[in-house]
Parts: sequence; structure tokens; C-alpha cells
Amino acid sequence: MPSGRRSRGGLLRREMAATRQETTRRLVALGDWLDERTGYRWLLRESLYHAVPTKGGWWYTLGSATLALIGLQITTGIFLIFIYVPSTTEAWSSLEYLKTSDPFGAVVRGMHLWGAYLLLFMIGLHLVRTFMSASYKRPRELNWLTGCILLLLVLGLSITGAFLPDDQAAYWTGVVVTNIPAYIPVIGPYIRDLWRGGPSFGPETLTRTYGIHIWLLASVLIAFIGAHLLLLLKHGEFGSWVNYRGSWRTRPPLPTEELAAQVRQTEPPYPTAPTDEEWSTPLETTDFYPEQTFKDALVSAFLILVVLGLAVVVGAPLEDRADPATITYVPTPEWFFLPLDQLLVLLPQWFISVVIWLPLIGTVFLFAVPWIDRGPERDPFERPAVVIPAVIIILSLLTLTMIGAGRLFTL
Amino acid sequence: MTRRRFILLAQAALGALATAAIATPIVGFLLAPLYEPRGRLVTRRLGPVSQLATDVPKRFVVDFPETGWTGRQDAYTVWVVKHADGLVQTFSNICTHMQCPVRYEQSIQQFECPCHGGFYNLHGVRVGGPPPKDLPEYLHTIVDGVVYISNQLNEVI
Repeated sequence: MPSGRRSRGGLLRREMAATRQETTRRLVALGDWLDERTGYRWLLRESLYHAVPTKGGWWYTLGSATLALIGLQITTGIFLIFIYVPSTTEAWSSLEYLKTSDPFGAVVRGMHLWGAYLLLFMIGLHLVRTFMSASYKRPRELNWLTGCILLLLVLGLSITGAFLPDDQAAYWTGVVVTNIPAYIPVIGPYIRDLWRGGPSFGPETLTRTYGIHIWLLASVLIAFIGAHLLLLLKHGEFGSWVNYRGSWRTRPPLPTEELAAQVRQTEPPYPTAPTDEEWSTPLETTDFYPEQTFKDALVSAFLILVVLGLAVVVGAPLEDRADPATITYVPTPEWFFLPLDQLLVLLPQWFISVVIWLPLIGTVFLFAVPWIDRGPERDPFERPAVVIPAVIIILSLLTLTMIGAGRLFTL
Repeated sequence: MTRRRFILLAQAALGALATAAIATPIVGFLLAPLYEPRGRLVTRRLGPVSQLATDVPKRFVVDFPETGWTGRQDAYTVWVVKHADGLVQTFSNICTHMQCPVRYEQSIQQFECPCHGGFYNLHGVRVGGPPPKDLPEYLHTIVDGVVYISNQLNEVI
């Protein structure tokens, strides 16, 4: 009896194995069919199977986390359109309805808000990381440039999104922010009127800003994300300066033979004349998939859970309906506008146009970083000419934010 | 001109033509607020001058029509000041700095903007903080001792 049961079990196992084999064969055949018609395996190979520097892999997750949060924004944004009405008569009411009568909808809106805040934070960290490791150097200047444009687009999306709820916070943010371009000489007032669709904040301000938010900026954003990722694929992750053999100036003698063995032909030359190819190759590399993608997935999933948690626990506030007649409401800027806002308090009245020129000059310098800092040096301690100004700028922004937060929120 | 050169030029010209055909109405539509006046002029009754205390701003809330198509009216604050010499001024509460809502501070007898600390005196003259211009006034008329204002400011802010 026992031997009979065993043989029957063995038969079952063999049958199951055969079925599995058949299923696999069919799946592979389906994959072949699809690959012949789409070439998807080439795409997978190109995007997943390349080498990335081993050290500092957790730092590279900032970029993928930014991408994941943008994906979250697009997803939640699409579904917020299902209920939001971009009209001064109904914008506030539709969100009030969402808040009081639609618990999951309120969470979706909460995720869109907290996702935006977290996205700004992560894209800022990603910027600081790429700057500190000098990842913008030849041949990656355009990676940096497209990244800067993406930063501006994210800022634009954040501020246009802030107009839309049409509560007190949204209305006064809208009034003040659309007024900023008015300080551009000559054409400024016209830009303000064009954005507002008239002299004051009205129905057309809301529809125009809505259009800019959901389609204009979002579609340009998606296009630039495509360009940013294509350039990343082309040049590979640069990683951090710690992946390379010390500083260019103070480099130790190269054990060329040993290092040459580590050079992976898939790596593009890590650049910057005058330097030798071995020199500019990462010390150690690992596979992008699944080594790096695991870290990326961990950080992105964690952040999305944080966003969900904040959306459920804190939610997205909705203040009273917009009231232009108020004499008690104190407009406060979104937190990422605090440095500029505090600057407005500190600047004397004949100096106001600095609110235009300072961000503009800052942006030009940000874009120009790869052409300002062209040397072969990667180590931040060996690049004082750009790192010191950058640290001063970051500290100034943080200080202005803290003074502004102290003034407005009496922390 | 070779055939190749001709079709190269022709397709560039066709592309430009099609782009212009799409862009012209769109640009015209976007620029409309500059050449099609938005909003309409209305007059609102505030109240008799005799009810105003000298040098004490009185707040009126008036409804002005929204720009555009909604037919809604938005409430706006008007600060009315009667000076000792009989002059009446009807101030908007829109700060000339960043257009935040201005309130009246009785303790210092000044209008104060809470956003960036702008101050205006009872004549609407800026006396502190960043505002680049004086507090704007709505154009007003006094008919039979009653103040009327229109939704038009005396300066571009």
C-alpha cells in the first residue's frame, strides 16, 4: 500500500511537472511572438541590464523616488479630475463635498497634497546629491539641464496646484503669486493680466491655472522625464565621487592591470579630459537589476506609504471659501515659497524687483553649473569654487525659511 | 533648383504654414484679456457722509461682479475715511505690495498689511514697509451727502 501511494504521488508530480513545462513553453512562445513584433526584450535588456557603481547606491534612490512620486502625483491627479470643478462657483464646494462625503476621495486628495510636498523635498535632495557628486560633468551636462527644467516644472505644478481649491489659502496664494510677475519691468503687468485672465483673480484665473496645471505643465513634464531617462540610459549612472579612485589631483598610482580587469566594457568612459579611461571607471560595479532596483523599490514604496499615512492621518486641509473682503485672514505662503516671502519682508520698497531678479539669476546659474565647473575634479572638497557658493545658497534658503516660519507660524 | 531641394523647402513651408494656422487663433485667444476688457463698471451706494466719524475709518463691504461668465458677485472691503477738513477717501483694502488684504490698526491709527508689514496712514500714504505705492482708492462721488463708489481704482497697482 505505502509503495503504491508513493508511486501514485510520483506520477502526480511528474504530471504536474509536465504541465508546468508546457505552460512555460507556451509563455516563452508568447514572449517570442511579442518580441518579434515589438522588440521588447531589447528594451528590457537596455534598461535593466547595465552596470551601476556599487558604492552609494542608496543615494541614487533619490532620483527613482522622485520619479515614483511624480507617478503618484499623475495618478492621484487624474482621479481628482473625476470630482473637482474648476469654477469659482463650484471649486470649493466640490472639494468640500469630497471632504465631507467621500472618505476615500479625501484620502486621494490628501495623497496628492502630501505627495507634492514630499516630491519637492526629494527632488531638492536629488539636486543636492547630483551637485555634490559632480554628476553633471561631461558628458552628462544635458542630464543636469533636463533635471533643472524638471525642477522648475515641479515647482510650477506645485504653485498652480495651490490655486485650485479656491479656499482662503488658495485664493490669497493665487492673488499674491500672480502678482509677482507684475514686478517685471514694462511687460510685468500684462503677464499678470494674462495669467489672471483679467485685472483680478476671477473665474478665468481658475480655468487658466487649471489648464496649466493638469495639461500644459504635466505634458511637458512627462516629455522631459522621457529625455532625462533616455540620457541616463545613454550615459549610465555616474554615482558618487566615492566610486572613483580618490581625487584627480591627489590620485594614488594606478594599479592599471588590476583595474583594467574591472573595467566593464558596458560602461561609458567616465569622462573629463584630461584623465585616463581606467581612472574614470568606477572602482566596483554591480547590476542595475535587481541590485539597484531593489533599493529603489524599497525607498519608493516606503515614501508612498508615508504619503498614504499623512493623507489618512493629517489629510488635506480645506479652509473657508475664498473671501476677497476679509480683513482678518493672514495669507501665508506655501512652505516652499517661504524664502522668497521672507525676502519680501526684509527688502526695502525700492528693491522689490529683487523678487524677480534673484530667482532668475539663481536659475541661470543653476543651469550653467556644468559649464562653470568644467574641471575633471569630482570630489566636493576639491571643487570649492562651486561648492562654497552652493553651500552658502542652501544655508541662506534654510535660514530665510526658518525666519519666515518663525514670523508666520510663531514656532 | 533641383527637385530634392524644392520638396525640402516646400515641406518646411507647409510645416510653417500649418503651425501658423494652429498658433494664430490660440495665441489670439490667450491674449484676449489684454484687448477684450474684462469686467464691467458698476456703482455701489455706501452711505451718508454724516454717519462717518472724523478720522475713524469705517469698513463697508460691497459686492462687485466677478469678471467672466459666472454672474457671481464677490464681496470687497472699502475703507471710508472722513478727514477733519471734510475730505472723504474710499480706500480699497488691496495692498500695493503683493495685493494682500489690508486691515486698520486702531492703536497706531494706520492701515496695516499682515503679509510683509506694509503701513499706510489715514490718507493712504505709505509710511512703512515694502509697498511701492500708496493705498489705492476706489473712484467715488458724493451725491446729496451720500457716498457712491465704482469698481475702479485711482491707480494701477
